[in-house]
Amino acid sequence: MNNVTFYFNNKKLENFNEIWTNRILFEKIQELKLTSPCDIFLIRPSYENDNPFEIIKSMDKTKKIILWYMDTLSEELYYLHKKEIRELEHNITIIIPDFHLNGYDLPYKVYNNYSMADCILEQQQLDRKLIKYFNKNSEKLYRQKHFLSFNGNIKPHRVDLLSFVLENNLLPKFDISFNSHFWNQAGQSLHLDLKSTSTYTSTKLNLPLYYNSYVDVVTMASSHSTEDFPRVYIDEKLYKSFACMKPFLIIGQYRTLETLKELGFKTFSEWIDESYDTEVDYEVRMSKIYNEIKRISNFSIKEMDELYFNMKTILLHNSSQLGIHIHKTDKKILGIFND
Amino acid sequence: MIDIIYMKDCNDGKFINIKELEEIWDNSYFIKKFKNIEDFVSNEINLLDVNENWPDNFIMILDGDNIEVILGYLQSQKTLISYLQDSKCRVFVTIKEGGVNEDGYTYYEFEGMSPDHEYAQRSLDHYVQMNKIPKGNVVWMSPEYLIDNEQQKDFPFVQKFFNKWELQLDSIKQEYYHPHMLDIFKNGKNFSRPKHFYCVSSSPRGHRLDLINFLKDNDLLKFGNATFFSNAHGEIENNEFEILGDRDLKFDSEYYWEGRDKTGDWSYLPTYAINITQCFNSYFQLLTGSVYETDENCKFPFIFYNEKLWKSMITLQPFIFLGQPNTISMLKKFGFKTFHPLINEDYDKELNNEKRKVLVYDEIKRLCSMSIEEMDKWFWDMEDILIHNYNRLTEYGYEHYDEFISLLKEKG
Repeated sequence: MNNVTFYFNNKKLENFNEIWTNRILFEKIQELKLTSPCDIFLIRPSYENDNPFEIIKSMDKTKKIILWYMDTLSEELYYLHKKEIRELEHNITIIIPDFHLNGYDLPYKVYNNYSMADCILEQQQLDRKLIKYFNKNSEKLYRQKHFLSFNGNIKPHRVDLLSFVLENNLLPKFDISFNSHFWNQAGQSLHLDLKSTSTYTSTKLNLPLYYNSYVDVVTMASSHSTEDFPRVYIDEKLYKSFACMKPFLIIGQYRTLETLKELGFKTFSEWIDESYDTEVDYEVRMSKIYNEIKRISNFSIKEMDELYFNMKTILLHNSSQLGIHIHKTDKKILGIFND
Repeated sequence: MIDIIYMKDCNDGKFINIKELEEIWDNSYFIKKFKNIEDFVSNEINLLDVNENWPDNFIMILDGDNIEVILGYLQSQKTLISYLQDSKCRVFVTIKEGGVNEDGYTYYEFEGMSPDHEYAQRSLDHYVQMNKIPKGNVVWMSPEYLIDNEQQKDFPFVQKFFNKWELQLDSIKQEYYHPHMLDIFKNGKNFSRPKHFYCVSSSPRGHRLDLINFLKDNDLLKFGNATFFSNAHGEIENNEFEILGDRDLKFDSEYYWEGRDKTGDWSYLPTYAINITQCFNSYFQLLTGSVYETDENCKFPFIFYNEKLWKSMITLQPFIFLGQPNTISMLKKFGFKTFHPLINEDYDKELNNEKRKVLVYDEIKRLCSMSIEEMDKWFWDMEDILIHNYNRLTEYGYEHYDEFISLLKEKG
């Protein structure tokens, strides 16, 4: 008995088969020899009814309780949960993947985890020989496209990107998907590599596709963040760019690049105008990104190739930093149990 | 031990005598990565100095690219002729790349023309017959497969099919692509591919021009990754043909004709290079042979296997082949599997050049009309065949070299 109980959907979790992220960390926690009991509630914010607070309130108040958010919280939900958390009288620790750049304003200690970085790292390790092979092969071949962008779910900033690409006749410069999570539905879709029948493939690396282009235009889960409540959420899409050694432009929340740098990653300001990252206004930020896409799309493939190989040191750094970032994060979280 | 005098044409019309075993490895007879031929060369070959006394029962290998240079050399070697007449030696000759770029794609040596014809006077037939050399003492190693073996009884020399492009590509596969291609292939099950086909045709030839026009006229280029006439070989001026698709190979053309690139890595060279990203982003290959036109009444119908078929097997892709008839059925004879009925391969039996083209085009149209979902299912239904061919490539190479070794060991 290690005294740790995991809850998922407010039910005791028997195994981690259904858990898509942080699984390796959970297994490490299970191996710890804890002297006092600890209940860990895994919360999926996107599931409306995934609310553990009623159960927690009924629990012994001396127990150590961890609220472990598996996914990003919207601003509204965060405020709702904050209210609930403040009412708890337990020994609470919160683990959340969103970086709140002005702090969390909670009476408990908050730690950041990661969303699916561990799955991508695992895949990177599984595919390491092939990644090395594709890297080597890249020295022989020009890639066909300037940009790669995955936009499986429709979101406003993804619609904006696609509109920009179409209006500026940039489609031939892109490997781009749009609305591709939804097969056989009315409306326009651009399909790149998702199969209608396959199981969840977000953690797999489609290396032939990644190595067919030079720069990833990563459309994050959210582009919403404000000056009063600046937040950054990083998901698997960006981790895949690290694993596949791709430079990137980020269409997401402002200050994402700043957060990445704080986590030890490097970005591409020597070659790409990254001033978009400090621009809080969405329209202005997008306009700056569009200008960069336009500028880069004017490069010949040979120029793109030179640009790419000039970034090699940073790409290698980010590729190995992924593992370091996870290791550091895991160490901090495991430290909770030593307190 | 087998005594061999190895003579190599260094592209200047003169043969030099190779005396070091390490120097016989190139892209003609002796290609590395096959243990059987490597062991044979190491343990059973004794290279001779052409200027020293010749023993009985040696073999002279002429490694050249130009039949006129080869014949010129043979005719100038009077002692060699007497050795051949007395069955004290055998001569192996080859033209590395076959006759594709010579004499309108066919060998006049095979055409059975009148002995008085100007070309016939300069043929291997003429040399052997004029000098009354016993048939088995001159062996013609040809990368062209003669379909009708019965016809070969008319030759005054031994003709052997030497599938040098297969051996060369499998050697490249073993050195640079195996086992990565299998791993990428298996990982690919998780994803669909964005394009239907992949097609590379660097050198301009009539049937390739027709193919582009067909793809353009039917708005099919959007279904593929295609590169035509990229001038990779430096054979043509860019402005003579429209270049379709991007140049995808990074190599320095000034080194190409010397058969190397600046890294010393052969897999960079256009003939051997495989664009794995484009291959694994498409489902099937549209292959164009080096030769297309076939004379239905030709006395010596042959098939020339260029590098393309073998490349598609390395990247585990099915193919449609726009080239000589019977190419597919002969592949089956070599132990490979093809794709009928998933691909209608009736085109392979059609001797009429125009009708064959129409059959190929119809099949391209049909496949391009499939949705990506349909194509994905269609593709994975061929998984076993694709893996078989990938593995068979190496097995076949070994078998081919076993035959070559036996041939070298035969007595004249």
